[in-house]
Amino acid sequence: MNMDVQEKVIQVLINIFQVSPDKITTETTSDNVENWDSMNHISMILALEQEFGISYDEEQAVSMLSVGEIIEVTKGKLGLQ
Amino acid sequence: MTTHPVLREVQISDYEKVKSLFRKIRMPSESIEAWKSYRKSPALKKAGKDFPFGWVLEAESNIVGYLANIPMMYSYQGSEVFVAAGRAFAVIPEYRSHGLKLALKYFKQQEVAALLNTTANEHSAAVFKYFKAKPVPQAHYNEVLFLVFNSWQFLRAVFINCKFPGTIASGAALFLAPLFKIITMLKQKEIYPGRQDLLLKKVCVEDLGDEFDKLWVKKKEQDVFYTDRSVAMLKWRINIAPSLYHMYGAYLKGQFLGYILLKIERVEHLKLKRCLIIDIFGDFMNDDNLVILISKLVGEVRDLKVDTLEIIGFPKAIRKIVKRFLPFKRIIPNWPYFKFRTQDMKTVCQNGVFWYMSLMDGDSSL
Repeated sequence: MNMDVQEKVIQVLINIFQVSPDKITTETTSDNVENWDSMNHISMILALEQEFGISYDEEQAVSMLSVGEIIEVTKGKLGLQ
Repeated sequence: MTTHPVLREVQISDYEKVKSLFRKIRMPSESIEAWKSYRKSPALKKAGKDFPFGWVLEAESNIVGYLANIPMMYSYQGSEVFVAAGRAFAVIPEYRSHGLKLALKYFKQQEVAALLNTTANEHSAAVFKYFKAKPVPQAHYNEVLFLVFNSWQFLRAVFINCKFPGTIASGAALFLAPLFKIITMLKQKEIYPGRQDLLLKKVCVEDLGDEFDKLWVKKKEQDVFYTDRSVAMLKWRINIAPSLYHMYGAYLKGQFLGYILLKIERVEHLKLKRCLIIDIFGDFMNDDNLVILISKLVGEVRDLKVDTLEIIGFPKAIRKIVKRFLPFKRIIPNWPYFKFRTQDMKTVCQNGVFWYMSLMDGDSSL
């Protein structure tokens, strides 16, 4: 299940930021992705919320600027930690 | 690899660095005088609170992001409503993933009753929607109605806007201007008879008298969400750039009915000098009076040697009167967004008659 979350998060990010799969790893941050601007960040949050059926707090959503952090917060929301 | 920027409240001492940020992203920046004026707003005195004038993102001693926060006072049914208008949302490309931190600060401020963003483009509108702000339900806000006074300048601006090189734009405009002038003359051929008892007089901002305050005291009791039009607020607004404003008082048999406020704006990249109707405010008794007043206004504006006269926003009743002058139309990519804190305001603001949005609102004409 934990692995599923990681894979799904990465797939969402690949789709939103239109990058090749090797560009998104658990180490990736917003600084490494050219298309990671505020508009795409919102698209990413909305896509993740839809994918997992969860809702992030606004503070959380705004500060999730690395793939590792997104996975951790999402797992927390799903009660997997 | 960029450094994580630090978010903090903006200080007046940040002005030069913020100006530099706007230069980097090729956006026009505000004058230091405008910054100082915001800090003297009468709205701030009434609210009497420590008000943040915006926030910055700072990285390696540079300002890499900025969002201004302007205090505004509104009135509804006689009650004052303290509003924060968002303005000049800008982040340099390398730090754009951090831009939402500025928006979060703006939307989380607790001291204000409402948040209003009147200059939302497609990008910022997506941000406002995420923070649950809603578009103002006033029909046709993005449809600009305009009259053309200088056919050549106007056509040249159209061609420049369509990316034609300067000389071709000028030549094509010169060729087509006579035909376009005939079209505008035919459109605006209806003459509205002047009336001796109905006057439109130019008013100096320093001379705004009790009649303006009396009008405001009366109007602010209405079931309409009006931005503060007290004399103190009008003077504050106009004095930010006094040479750009022209105010006209409307009088029927010597009795003050209301006023019309204009602002001249130079659109440098289009080489166009346009005149914007910022406000039409008063009790004009009937539509015919307002038609004659606008007709007189058109005459006054011709003397200002501007290329166009434009009107943005205003409720349907006023737009209907302006349409009697057969204006041209164009669509702009902006729409105002709002967010109220209290449930009662959230409910009443859904009603279209609640709004009287024009360039007078929010930061549209600051």
